[in-house]
Amino acid sequence: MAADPKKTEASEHHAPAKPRPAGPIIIGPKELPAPPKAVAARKRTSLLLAEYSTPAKCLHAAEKLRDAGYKNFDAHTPFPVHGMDAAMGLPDSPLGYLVLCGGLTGVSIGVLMIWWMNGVDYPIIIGGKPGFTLPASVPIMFELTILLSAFAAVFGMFHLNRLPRHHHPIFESDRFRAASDDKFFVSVEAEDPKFDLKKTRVLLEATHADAIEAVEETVAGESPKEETH
Amino acid sequence: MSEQQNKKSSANSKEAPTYRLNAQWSGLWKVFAVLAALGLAGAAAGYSSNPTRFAYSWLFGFLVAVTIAIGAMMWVLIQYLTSAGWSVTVRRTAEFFGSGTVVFLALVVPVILTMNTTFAGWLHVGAHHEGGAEAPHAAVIMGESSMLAQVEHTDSAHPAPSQAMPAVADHAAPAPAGHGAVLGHAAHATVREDPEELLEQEIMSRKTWWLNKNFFIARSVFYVLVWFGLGSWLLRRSILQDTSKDVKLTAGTASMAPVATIFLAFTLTGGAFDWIMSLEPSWYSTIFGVNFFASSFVAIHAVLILTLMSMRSSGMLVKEVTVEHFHDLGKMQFGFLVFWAYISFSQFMLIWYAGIPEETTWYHRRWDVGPWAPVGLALVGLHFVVPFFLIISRNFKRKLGWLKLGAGIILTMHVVEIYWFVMPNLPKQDDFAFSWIDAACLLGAVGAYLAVVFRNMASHSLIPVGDPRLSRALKFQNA
Repeated sequence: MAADPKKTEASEHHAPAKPRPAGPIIIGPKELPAPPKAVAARKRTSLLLAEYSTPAKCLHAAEKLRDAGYKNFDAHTPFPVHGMDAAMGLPDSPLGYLVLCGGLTGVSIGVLMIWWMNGVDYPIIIGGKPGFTLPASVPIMFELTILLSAFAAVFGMFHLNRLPRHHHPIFESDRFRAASDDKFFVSVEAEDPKFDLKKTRVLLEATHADAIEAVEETVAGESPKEETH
Repeated sequence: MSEQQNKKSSANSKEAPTYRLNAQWSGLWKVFAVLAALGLAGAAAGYSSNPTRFAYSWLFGFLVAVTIAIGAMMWVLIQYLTSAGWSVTVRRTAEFFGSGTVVFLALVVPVILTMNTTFAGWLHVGAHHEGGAEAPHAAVIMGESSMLAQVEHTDSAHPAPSQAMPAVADHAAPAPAGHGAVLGHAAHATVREDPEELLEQEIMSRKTWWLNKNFFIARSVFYVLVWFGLGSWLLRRSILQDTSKDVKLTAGTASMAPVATIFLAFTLTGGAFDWIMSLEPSWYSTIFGVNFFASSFVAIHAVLILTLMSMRSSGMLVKEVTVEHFHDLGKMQFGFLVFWAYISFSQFMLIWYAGIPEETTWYHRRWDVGPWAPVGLALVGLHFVVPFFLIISRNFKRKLGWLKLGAGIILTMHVVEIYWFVMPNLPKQDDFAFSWIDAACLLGAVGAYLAVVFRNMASHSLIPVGDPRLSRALKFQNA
């Protein structure tokens, strides 16, 4: 999971059959006037995408990027590749600690709630048992532990994977659709401090990539150039 | 060393792995045999000095060995049921522990021979039936105020369900144990005898079709025969494959595994009912068989983890059983530890909440009587809470020292749990203390079992070299 958080996005993304037109996507009749020049589109390279035909090549590429000091890169594979976490230099996921906190919160809330309700606020004697007792509270403590652990696991995973996120520039690449089928990808984000369009491309070329693509995203620009390329 | 192994190993690595016990370990079964002989001699001395104590102590030692063997067979069967690939290198060790069942054919004999002591609570119920009404103990019990005295009477001979006692259940049913209400209820009832005593008689008369001498002996023999057959069969099939490499053996065992699992489940439930629950014959708990299974299954994971780690530290199976396998064993151990706690607590809580006499006797005897309350709390703390936090984390499961500590605590507490199952039913609990007879019986029974296990281990390959999924297990990694 930690290896490629964007994989789920990839598999859920249904790209259109035809390549997207450059420039802003216009929904509705074609005759609509072009958007005003102030928000005219411009292109920006947002990541470098390298395609591999085998998991081993992809794994080695990740190792090279890790060793070169890149942090903001990711691997996208159709199935989990063993050893990818180590190859990418990913630290252990902190999710377990989030779940532990959720569970401890649940067990505490459970015992406090039953203690307050049955022991203090409204004690009812049933079957000769005292208002508050531990054995009778355990099912509640257990259930709340499970519930809050599960919440922590699911929503913690969302948070760590920066979900929900509706779009990522990597989906601009048609090639990338094979990431959920039979190809293996490594992407390096332009935001990485070590990113350099030429140097990073050279590094990726040295990993025997089948193809390397500079994926551009369309952004609203301050200094408009032509509408289309 | 066979040729196949040499061929295989030369393909795998430079220094040829032998998959055999090294010299240090191959004689270990003799050590266990000597320990067993010492233990059995001690047990015999214990029998001559205190036959009652021996009867209970032997049952305890026997059950410790039985639970490990049951867990081992169930473990192997589950690998076949799930077509598991990861566990192939671990499976042979479990098969060895399952193959120790042959000694139970002998170890069960003292259990049957001492049944007059341990199972006196129900053994004479049927006989009394035939002999007609006897004077019930009720008059004696009525005079005593403590619940303890009433319960302890069940240790000696049970009073007969008198024929001059009609409609017993109507009067005796709803009296909570240990409450003042018991005496009040008795006073209102038109029956002269103590209602709990009558209830117990009524319950016992309904159970005699199952709890009678001949059927009990037949069942005990049946259980150990089934386990002997299953344990030997699993190991033999696997060893045949070492040389034949026949995939059909795997397929055949897998196709028989569901039936074998059902047989094992029923016999282990029967063993739990007959050898532990019938110490307290009027007690009801439908989940106790599951509790017994959970105990066994947690214990076998601890045994496998500790055995394999010791083997690795003396240089065996270093590349075959890796941290990945221990991680998975730890996951299974953790899961079934929680399962054990869930089942044990469910049984306790329902009985505690309902508070009806025929169910509370078990926990009454293990809480209010003798030194057992701290033992019960120790089971909660050390059989569950401490190991739970020790092995909950992925990192801890992969740090073998932590996993080993967790497994060590669990296995120790498993022995304590079996002790806690059996020993509170020993008569005269007020001055209960640990006895050397307990230790001798544990050593004798478990030593004999381990001697057979390690004898088998010394004469066969340590991993199933002919298994079609072996390569998957060797390459196994947790994602």
